[in-house]
This record gives sequence, C-alpha cells and structure tokens, in this order.
Amino acid sequence: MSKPSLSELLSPHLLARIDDYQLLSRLAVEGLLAGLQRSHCLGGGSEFLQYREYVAGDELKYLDWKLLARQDKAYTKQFQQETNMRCAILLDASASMSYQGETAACSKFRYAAIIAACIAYLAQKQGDQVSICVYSDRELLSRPGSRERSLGALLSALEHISAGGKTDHELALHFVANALKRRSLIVWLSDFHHYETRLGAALGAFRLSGHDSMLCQVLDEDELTLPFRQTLRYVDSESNREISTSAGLIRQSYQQRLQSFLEHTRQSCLQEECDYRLASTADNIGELLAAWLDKREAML
Amino acid sequence: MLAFTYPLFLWGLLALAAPLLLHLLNRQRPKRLLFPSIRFLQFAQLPREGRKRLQDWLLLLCRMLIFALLALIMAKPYWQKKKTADQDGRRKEAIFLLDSSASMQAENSLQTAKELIAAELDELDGWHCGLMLYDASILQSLPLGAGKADIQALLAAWQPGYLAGRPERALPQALAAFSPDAAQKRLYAISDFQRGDWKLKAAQVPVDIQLRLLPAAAPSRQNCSISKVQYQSLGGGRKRVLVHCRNYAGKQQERLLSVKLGNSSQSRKISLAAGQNLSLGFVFEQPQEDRSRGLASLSQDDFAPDDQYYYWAEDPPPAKVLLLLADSEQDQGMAAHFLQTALEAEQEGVPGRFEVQTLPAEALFAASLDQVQLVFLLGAAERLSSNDFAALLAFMQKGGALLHCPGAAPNLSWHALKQHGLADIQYAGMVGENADAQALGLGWLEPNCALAAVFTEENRSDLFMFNIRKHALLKESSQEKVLLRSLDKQAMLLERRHGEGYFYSFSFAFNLNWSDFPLTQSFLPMLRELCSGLTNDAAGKIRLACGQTPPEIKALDGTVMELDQEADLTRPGLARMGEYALEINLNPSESDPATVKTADLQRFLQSQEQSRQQSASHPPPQGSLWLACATLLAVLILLELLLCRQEDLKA
Repeated sequence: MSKPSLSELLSPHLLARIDDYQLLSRLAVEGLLAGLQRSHCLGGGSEFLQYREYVAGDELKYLDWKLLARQDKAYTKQFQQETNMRCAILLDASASMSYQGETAACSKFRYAAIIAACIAYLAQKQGDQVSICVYSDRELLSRPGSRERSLGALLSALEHISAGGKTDHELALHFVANALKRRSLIVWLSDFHHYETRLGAALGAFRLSGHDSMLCQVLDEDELTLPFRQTLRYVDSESNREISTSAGLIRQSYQQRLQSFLEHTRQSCLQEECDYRLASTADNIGELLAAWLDKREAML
Repeated sequence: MLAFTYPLFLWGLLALAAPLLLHLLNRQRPKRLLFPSIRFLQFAQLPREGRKRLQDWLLLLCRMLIFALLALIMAKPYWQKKKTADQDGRRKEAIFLLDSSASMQAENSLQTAKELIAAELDELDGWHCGLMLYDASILQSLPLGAGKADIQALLAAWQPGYLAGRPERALPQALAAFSPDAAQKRLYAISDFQRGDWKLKAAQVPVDIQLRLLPAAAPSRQNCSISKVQYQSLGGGRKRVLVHCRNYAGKQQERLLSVKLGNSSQSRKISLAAGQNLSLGFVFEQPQEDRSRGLASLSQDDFAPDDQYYYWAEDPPPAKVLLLLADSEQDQGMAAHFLQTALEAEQEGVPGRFEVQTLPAEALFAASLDQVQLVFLLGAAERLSSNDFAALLAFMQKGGALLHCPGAAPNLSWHALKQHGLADIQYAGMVGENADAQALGLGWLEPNCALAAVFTEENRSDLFMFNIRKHALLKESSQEKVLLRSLDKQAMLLERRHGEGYFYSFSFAFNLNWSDFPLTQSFLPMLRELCSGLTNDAAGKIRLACGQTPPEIKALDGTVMELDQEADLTRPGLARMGEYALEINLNPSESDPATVKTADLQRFLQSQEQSRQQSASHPPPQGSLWLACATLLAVLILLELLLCRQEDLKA
C-alpha cells in the first residue's frame, strides 16, 4: 500500500478545524520581527504593561500627562513589545513510533508528523519561524529555521522519512541547545518510552533556557488498552527482545504499569511547566489540536 | 465381531495424528507481533483453564472421530458373528489336486509332482488331507482324512494319461470337498500349468481357502511333435503321406521322422528351426490294400506322447454336391450339365472327389442337407420358400457352402436372397444385353483368396480370356467380399460368411447364353479348387483328441453308427465307427510347453472371487455398518461446524 502524502493528510478539513487558533507561547519570547508573541523587551508594543517613574531621557510620548496634572507626579507608561516567535518541533522517528494497530488509521510516527505539520502551518501562518528536528538514533531531518516559502519543502521532507532505529532523545536536546539561541516554543512529539526518568531534566533545561515547551506523547490505542485475546509472541521493536504472553492474563497489571509511566511523564511536565498532551492514534487529530490550542489560549 | 471388506484402508487411522498435531502445534507457536515496547508486559503461563476447556477437547475429539470414521467407511466394516469355542476347535483340511493330463508325462514332471506332495505332507501334521487326480475330469480321489500312507501309495502307482487337462472342471469339485465349517482350508494345485489347459474363465477360489500352486515342470522343454498326417491316393497305385511337424523348443532340433504304411515304412532325418512348422511328404510306390493302418513317429524327446501319430490310409469318400435348378429353365439344365461333368471328372486316374446330385428347387424340402457339403443354386432362388432359405442358412451355419448363379429372373433372385438374410447384395440391372455392347470379361482376382494360389500371375490370363456376354450389375455391402471383378471393375463373384460356412454369388450363369466360361480351360480348375477349398479334407474320417467323444452319426436307415468294441478313445490309436474311420491322437494343446505364471494365476483365481464378493448387491450376511458410520460422520461434521462457529463468535 502506498503511503498517503503528508500534504494530503494536511487536509483542508483539518486546516479549517485549526485555522482559527493561534500558536501562542505562554512565556515571553525573543524575536526580531513584530508578531503575535509577547517579548520580554518593553517598548513599542500595543499592550500596556506598567508605570514607572520618569527618568531623564525617557521619551516624552510615553509620559502620562493626565497623572502628572492630577497628582503632580511624572510617570512613564511602559508597553509589552510584541514580537515573532521561533517554534522548534522535535519529532521522534524511532522504530517504536512505526507501530500501527489494527484500529488506527496510521502509524504513530505519521500521526505525530501530521501534528508537526499542523503546528508548522500555524506558526508559518502567523509569521513565526519554524525549526524542526526529526531523529531516531541519528538526525533524520534537521532544519534550524525556515520561512514561509519553505513549508512545502518541509512537508515534502517529512513525507520521505520512515520510522526506524533506536531512540536517542539526546539528539533532540543537542538540536535545541545548538539551534535555539533565543527563547522559543518547543513542541516535542514522541512516545517517550524509557525516557520518563530523564524527561524532567530535559524539560528543566528548556525552562532554564527560557523556552516554552509543549509535549505530546503519542501512543497507539493497542498500547493503551492491550486488546489482544490470544497468546502472542511480542517482539520489542527497538531491542528485538521477545516475550510470549497472553494479554488477557496480564492486561490489568499492564495497564497499571502503563498508567504509572504516563503519570510519571505527566508529572515531569507539570513540574517543569510544560504543556502535556496524551494523544492516541485513534483520536481525531483536528479535535485533538483544537482542544489543545484552545486550552493554551485560555491559559494565557 | 467387526470385520472389514477393505482392511488396508485402516491405515488411514494414522491420519488421527493430524488434528492432534495441529492442536499441539497451534499451542506451541503463538503468533509474532512487533510491539513498540514490551517493558510493561510480563511473562504469563498459558491459561491452563483455557487449554483444558471442554469445548477445545470436544472439538479435538470431534475432528479425530471424523478422521477415524472416514477410514472406517473406506474399509467398509460389517458385523460378523463371533466364532464360538467349538467352532475354533474345527479341523484343518488340505486337498492335493494333482494334474494327470498327458503333458504331465513330460520328463521329470511325474517325479517332481510326487516330491512336492511328499514335502508338503510332511509339514501338514494334524491336518486332514485328501488327494484328487484329474485330467478332463476327476479320475481318482482319496477323501479328506486319508492317511499319508494311502496318499503315497496312490501316488506311487500314479501314471498320467493321454487326455488334456480341464482344471476348470476339477477345481469346483475340489472346493466342494472341503467341510463348510473347517477352521482352515488349503488347496494345493500340482500341475505343469500349461497355458492350453489353464484357461480359467469361470473358476474361482473363495478367499477363505488358501490356494497354493506348485509347478511340477521345468519352464522349458525340448519338444517336437507331429501335429497332423494327411493321406492321399495319387493314382497308379501310388500313395502319398503328408506329415506336419512342429518344433516347440526355443532352438533347432534334429529328429528322425519315420512313416509306416501297412507293412512298408520310410524314415528321414529332419531339422526343425525354433518354432518351425514343417510339412514333409512320403510317397509309397507299392499298392497297398485299402484301409491300411499307418503310424508316423519322431525319435523321442522330453515329451514322448506327441511323437507318434496314428492315421488311416484310405481316401475319403467323395463330397456330395447338390445342384438346385428350376425345371422350366433350359439354360440352367445346361449349366448343371457343365458343373456335373467338371466336378465328377477323373484327374490323373484318381476318381473325382465330388458326387453330384441334381434336384428341382421346389423339392429342396425333401433333401437331407446333412449329407451334403456343397449346394449350387442355379437361378432358382426366387422359387424357394422361407423354410427353404432357413434350411440353407442352417446348412451354412454348420459349415456348408452355397453357390448361387443368376437365372431367368435375376432381380427376383437377389431380392429373395436379400429378403431372407443370405446376402445383402444390391441388384442394379444387367450389363451387356444390348447387341452393340462391347466385349466383357474378368479383369481382377482377389490376391488373398484360394483361387489366387491356382491362378498365379503367370497363368491368370487363362481366367481372364473368356468372353462374358452379359452379367448382372451388383453392388456389395460391407459384409460381402469381392473375389472377382470384371474389366470395368464390376463385382463378378462375391463371398459372405455365415457361421462356419460360406455363401458365394456369381454375377453370371454357367451357360453359353451368359458366357463362354464353361468351355474354357479355366472352368474346371476354378470350379474344383473353389469346391475343394469348401469341402472338408477329412470327410469320411473323424479325427479325435484322446478322451474326446465321437459325434453321433446316423446311417441312411436311421440307425446310429456304433463304435468298435475294442476301441479305446482314451489313448492314441485307430478305431472305426461304422463306415467312418477314427484317428485318435494326442490333443495338440498338450504339446505346447508354454505355461502360465502361477502368481498371475493365483491373483486371477482369488481376485475374481474377491471382486465377485465385493460386487455382490446383497450386503455381507452379518450386516453392513457402512450406513451407520456415514450417518455418524454427518452428525460429527455438523457438531464440528457448530463448535467452530461458537469459537468464532467468542473470538
């Protein structure tokens, strides 16, 4: 079966569902151009931030003349500067992301890639720069920055990537450290298997660097529910280890362990003020993104 | 007890292992699944309660039973009453069926047969044994229970006779001699298994009788035989004896052939190639008295009885020929005259071999065709009644010959022949009746007929020279064979076979209105050769094989001719029965050393019986279980489908 084109998966229906939303950073970011994002720089923005006492040399146009006339105190109005944002997408393309359950419409990687495409589309649309890093045990695609005209090229490059190999999340951290010199929004898409213990540290590093981060943990419905009836020989997609078991017998303990893993991941995100979202490949992507972005807008 | 018609199919029960293995293999090899991470999975014992679920076991049992029933159905089971204790104590019986035909006189056969029986008798301790000697029928028998001493005493005095063996007559009698409730039955057939004797088309040996075939002769023997001797007076007091010899051996044989006629005898050394037939003539110059006894003999070989041949040195009486003609036809009277003259003429001082009688066609009902060998129907076919035609047909069926010539009403003549089934010849008019008609004549002779041997290529022109003024235009059917054709390829003489005899139809008559044929030189040889070929050279003589009963022959006064009192028909020799001479010699089939393969014979004898039992429409006496098995199989298949359906629903 031929793989569906990613640009086709970025369908008008899906775009229409998310088109009204804005990809906003909860933290002030640094940018070179004026945009929708709050900048940590004060100045020529439209949104009032605070008053401060006038000091010699301040621009008189920001002096609050009414206050001076009423109280005889000179205060200068300060405004939040609005700037553009650099959005970095980290996409896991390891072998574990290639799994596709019988009920899923696509594999985990393709599902995550569609989310990444949507994020990139929104960012491009609002004038933000988009960086992307697709990795497994090596960097499969690394673009520190891209402009609007290169969105098509980005999607085309994503189409040609197939998931495989072991996961090395350190590559993603290196990319962030090297490519993002200013405060940025990081969107991280992976199943985060075997990484829950180190995830907190990684997110903490992002936070210390001033980055806002969004984390989407993509799992297949089969991973969440373990629906199999017969005894199967399960083969780990990355380590190739095998285990023969009957799902019906271990389903309860499996789900307990999985929930523990998910909870651990979620707690790490909460502690590092990272926006966490669990996605199942059975979920509708448009609905998922709409709900996620809506929640973020509400939090701002 | 349970028994099976085809027990070999029970090997199919091995297929029971198939569902069992499939169940086990399915358990041991779970399906492989590439999973993102197995870190949350644990080893788990296969569900014991699941493995032992009643439904699984039912399904397995059901499938195994289906396989078992399939094998049983193929083996055709039936119920047989169990043998009771007293039946198990029944006695064991063995019968020796010993071939006593002439061929057993061959060198070593006699001794080998005795040794074979003695060896088998030693192994049959506790058995009830019997002995039967047979040739054409059972000659002598010792009933079951006879002691070994009795059997050996009879064997010591045993000498094979001169008759041909008829095992198909002896076998049923031997089988009937077994007790129906014998625990074990064994039939030994000791013979040389000559191919000529063992033509068993109806004989069958039941499968519960062990048949053992013991060959008592070496597969090859060096045998030459005298198959036939013919005697003929040549005129001038000379006699000719023609001896036919045959070599049955696979290599060349040298023999001394002696012929004795009355008090004279002649000998000659002969050499016979492998499989060769040789005819050798001996001429005796001295006039002998009539009815001399003769004997032809070969120097002895492996099989002596066929090295001698007894014959009578007397000419056969003339063959009787009946000419049927229409009284009113002058032309046919002329034809009858030509025919009678030609057939009764002397040749080289030897009286004619034919005795001709003429009879009006209307008086055929009064003639006794039994005494006649040839009938000429000279243009009178349309005058015969249905009974006459029936009599002529019967006459031909027995070996007589009927020769037909057209008369005044050829169309009616052939129509009557066709109507009564004597011929299927289509009459299509006459040729040559007009004055301006061109000269007609014969132009072609069938190369394979008897006439072609006389009218060879060199002197065939004699046959084709005479003129034919007119002839009928005939169209033969597929049943007729054309022997002579005219110059323009029209059929002139047609032949059709009726049983043992022949029907001939000429397209022209033997009188001068039709052709010059009766005046030509070829008329006499053609007529005599044609008629000689149709008459039996042994007329007046009866050649019998040893043991053969002579036919019943009635004299003119109606009394049955009786055999000489001292005549012994069971051994070679000469005898007389009234005016008929009997030559009694060995059956030629006994000379042939070719044998049947005992393995093939045994398979044939018992497979015939087996197939007869199998093809019998009635079920085995104790009741077939086939239907019950088939019904049970159908139920099991339904149950299996139901169980599978439930499994699917659960899945």
